[in-house]
Amino acid sequence: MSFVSVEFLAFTAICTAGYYLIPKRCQWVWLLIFSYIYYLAQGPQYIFFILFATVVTYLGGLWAENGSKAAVPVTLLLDFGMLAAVKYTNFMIGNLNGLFGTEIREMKLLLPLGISFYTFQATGYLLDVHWKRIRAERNPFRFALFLSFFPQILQGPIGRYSRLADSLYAEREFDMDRILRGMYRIVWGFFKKIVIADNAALYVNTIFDQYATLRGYGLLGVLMYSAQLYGDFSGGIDVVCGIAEMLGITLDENFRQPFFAVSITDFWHRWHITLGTWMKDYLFYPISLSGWMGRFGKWCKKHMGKSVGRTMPICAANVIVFLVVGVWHGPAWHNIAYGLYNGVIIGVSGLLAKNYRDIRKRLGIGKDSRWFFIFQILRTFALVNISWYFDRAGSVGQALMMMRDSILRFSFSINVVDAGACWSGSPAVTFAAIIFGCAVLFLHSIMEERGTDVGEVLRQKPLPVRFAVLLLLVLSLVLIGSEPLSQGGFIYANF
Amino acid sequence: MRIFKRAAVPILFLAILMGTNALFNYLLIPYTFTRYKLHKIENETFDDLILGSSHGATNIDPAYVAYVTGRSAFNAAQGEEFPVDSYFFLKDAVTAGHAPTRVIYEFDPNYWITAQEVDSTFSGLFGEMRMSWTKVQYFFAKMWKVDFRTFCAPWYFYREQWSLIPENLDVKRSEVYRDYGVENFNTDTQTVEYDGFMAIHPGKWNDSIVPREWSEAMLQKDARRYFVMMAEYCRRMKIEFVVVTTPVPDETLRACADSYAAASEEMRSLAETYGFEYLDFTSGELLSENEDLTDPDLFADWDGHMYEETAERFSLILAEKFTY
Repeated sequence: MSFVSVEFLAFTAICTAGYYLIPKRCQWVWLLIFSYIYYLAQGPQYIFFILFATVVTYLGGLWAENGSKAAVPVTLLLDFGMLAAVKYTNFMIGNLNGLFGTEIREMKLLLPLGISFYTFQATGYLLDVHWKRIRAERNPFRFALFLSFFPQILQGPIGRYSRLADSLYAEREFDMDRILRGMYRIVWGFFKKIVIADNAALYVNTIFDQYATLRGYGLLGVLMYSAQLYGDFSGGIDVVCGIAEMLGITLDENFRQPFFAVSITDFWHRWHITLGTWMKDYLFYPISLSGWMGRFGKWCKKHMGKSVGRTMPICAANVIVFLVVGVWHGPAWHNIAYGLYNGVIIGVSGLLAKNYRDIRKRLGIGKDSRWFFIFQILRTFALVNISWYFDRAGSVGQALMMMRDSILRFSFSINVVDAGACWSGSPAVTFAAIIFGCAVLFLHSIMEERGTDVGEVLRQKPLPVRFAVLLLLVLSLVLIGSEPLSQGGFIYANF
Repeated sequence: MRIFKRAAVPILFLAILMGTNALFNYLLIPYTFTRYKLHKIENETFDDLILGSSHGATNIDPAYVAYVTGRSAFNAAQGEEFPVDSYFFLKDAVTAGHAPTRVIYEFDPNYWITAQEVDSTFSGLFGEMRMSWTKVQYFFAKMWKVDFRTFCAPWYFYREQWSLIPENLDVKRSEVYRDYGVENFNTDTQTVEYDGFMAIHPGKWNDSIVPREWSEAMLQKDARRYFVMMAEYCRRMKIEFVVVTTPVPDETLRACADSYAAASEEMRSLAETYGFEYLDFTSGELLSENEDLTDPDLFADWDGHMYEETAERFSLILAEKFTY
């Protein structure tokens, strides 16, 4: 059930209308029913996986709360085991065959939609129960809703029980303001997805899929990928949050103007925030506070000096965390390279932080230097774009070759895409649509970065202005949006 | 009262949005013969109703069929009309009280192995149907899973054709449009007749269309499903159901022999199962009897769209095969 389909809009409308019409005590049950209908619509064969994760984690949570030491490892093994089995088995087989020359046949495995998201959500809940941050949910159906809440199940945001549960189970009155806020957000999400991401996808697919012939266009391809990925993922999240808002449920934000980040660390605090915080809480802290990491820190202090020794465990933990982030992104070496690239940059930045401060001091660059601030943003943008080569390319070799060609054979032409593939019949118009979309997004991001709630500002404007802005936004989906089905669904739904 | 006031704002916005959308639909969507054909089958009763693809539209001339059979005939076949569309067109005619006594379904194997493209024709075939329960069913069959813009704002398939607005306006304010005329569909290369037949004038051979290879793997489940529904519907409604595969140039037949043979086998098996007559001019007796109809010079293209005169000849031969 695609987010942009008539079916999904009707499904959402019926769900929302019914939610406010039925007795309030049944509202969460209504959501559970709709969540399972939604998941069944993706393919009934996938239902086993989410039911398995639900039952295992629900029982694991109760077991862990009773103080069982085996509860957490057993439940984690089952949850991550299922994820690993369906997602990484063929990757392992491929590598074993490559390494040892064996001929193990790859398996035909189902990859349930959203499995990475609900597995992380489930394991986060389990660890929170284990660490006594929350109490285990007694009602299995309520827990089932927590894992399956339909807007967020395919591409997040990865919810935390402590923040999401009360919101999911609360009894709510109809609130027109919330409905309108939700609608604004959904339209804005569609704008990012349809106008920016899907149009940019045309360039990305052309350049990355034909990289061997279109050598030198890598920079254009990767910049377009920046636009596509951000428009696609954050647009999808806007739709998700907008639907939740209409139902009175507040989800965690997943983006905060990521391209205004001044460092890669900052970038990961703004991009896919819920994955970043999950990694921080459930992987980074346990690793950096573990006994073996403590011993490693002491060893580093002894052999490398106090300053490096103190930073080294954090750097190592970051590299491990981002290795996992890479693996989470998909069973392929280029994804692992993507994760490691980020981890190494963050790690090295941590190690060299003092040197950076010294250089800045020597150059007389003050803390409030506007130019240095812009330089940091541009530098981070460049570093992030380098990482996208690994993320989008089909292999590490392709990524490296495209990077090299981007410099040594640099080419740029908006006509690189086939005119026949453009909805307008003209690459120039498609390119202009992308630029327009990015410009609107940029202005919006600047306002949000300066602390202005754009939605709130709009609500304060006179009715004709509000109508005009919303009308333009909706019409732009039709006027300059990419053609339906031409570019497929949401990228992160494949995770 | 407070709730009403709060609701008034979104309702007003929706009204403006729908008004703007309707205006764009009016300005940008041209008059197509889908509107004409649907109007005819919704408002007039014909003995023989021809459904199917562009081959049906160009190769079966209802006037010649009517001449032989002495029955009225109308050609509602058109390019991009897939089995799902044919099924609902038939249902639309029947529920409008204009059930034919016979359906002549033109079977083009290409339409069974190709996914329907979501384009202007896709939305046009649905959009021009009158509002009815059949249309609601058609909506769920066809529009339910597509991008919301295809259903809500079909003008978007014409969004790069702003220069055609004056022409569209002229047409839509003309008598031809009001009276469901067909004159403005006529060009140097084709004439659309009032009985729905599209006559292709002799001209340059177009070899750009190459039929695809038929294979079980490529067979579209929906094509077979809706075809079977159509056959069953005809049986229930006591409408005679005849399926025809029109002749193609011998070059095409030679190049895609396996493909045509497989398609023919599939349709023969369906004919046996569902008890309808299948007239296949690409194989067996009908092919050998009418080999003179496979001369490439008689066709406008490699794909098998006939020139007007060939279609007339073929229609006479075809009509002789019908019971009347």
